[in-house]
Amino acid sequence: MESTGSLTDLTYLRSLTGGANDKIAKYIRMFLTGAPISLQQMELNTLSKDWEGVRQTAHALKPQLGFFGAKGAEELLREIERNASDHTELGMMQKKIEHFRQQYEIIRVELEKALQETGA
Amino acid sequence: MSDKTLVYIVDDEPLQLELLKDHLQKMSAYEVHGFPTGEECLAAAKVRKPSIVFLDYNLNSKVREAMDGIDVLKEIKEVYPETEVVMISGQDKIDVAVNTMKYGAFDYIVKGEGAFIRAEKTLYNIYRYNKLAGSANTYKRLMIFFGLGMILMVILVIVLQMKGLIKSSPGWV
Repeated sequence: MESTGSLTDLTYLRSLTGGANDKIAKYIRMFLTGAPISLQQMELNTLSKDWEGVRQTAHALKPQLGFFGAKGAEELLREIERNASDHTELGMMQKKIEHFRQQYEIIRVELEKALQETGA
Repeated sequence: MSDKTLVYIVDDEPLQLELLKDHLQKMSAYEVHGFPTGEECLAAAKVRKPSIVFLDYNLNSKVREAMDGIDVLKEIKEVYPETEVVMISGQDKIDVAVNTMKYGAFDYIVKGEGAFIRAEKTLYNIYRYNKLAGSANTYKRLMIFFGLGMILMVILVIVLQMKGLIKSSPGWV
């Protein structure tokens, strides 16, 4: 982690881009545009008990969190994906997605700050 | 028309697509294009056939009716058998990987931090594989040519013998 308590870590992204701030900024913007839509999709799928929809969305969003070093949120999505796939702990699904939304809000704030720091 | 190797990437997640595209574009020998659906990739392939396709396994996470990765893989290998397809997926399940290989995928890459380096290595492996296949074909052609030469030589000897131009005794004189 870059600092104590931080949910994200951009070390990997910096190494992948060779520290190119314009690219880091582009990827953060893409994530901040796409992730809320995926999150909303998961919430709607949960309400309609569309577990295949939950699985697919969690599956697609999961690796993106890894790029930003958000390992905890990535692990939570892995669990959501597994539960939706195996139809286990479905009663807890709404709570888990709520927990994920809370984590996402922190991640969003951290990434917005990182975006400002890139100056791009 | 560029003389670079044409690479298509298909992924319905824009961030994943952009990251891989940017990474592979750093290599000067490749011309890389990205598509969000298999349908768009197949349409583009009709205009310009790609040498290599990086194809997401789950292509219907956004649009349920969209073709999934396996369907696109099957179609590519049926229409363009010489195009190498590399499957990409967030699933590290062996049966998923085996399934893609069964339909002719060259390799299977699990999404995540190591995926970009793996993609780079896979491009190199495809290059080496094609080079070896090219050499094998050259040797095959040489062997066929040599074999035909030998047959022609035997026929010539038989004809010359029948015409009495050479004797069957050793030394031929």
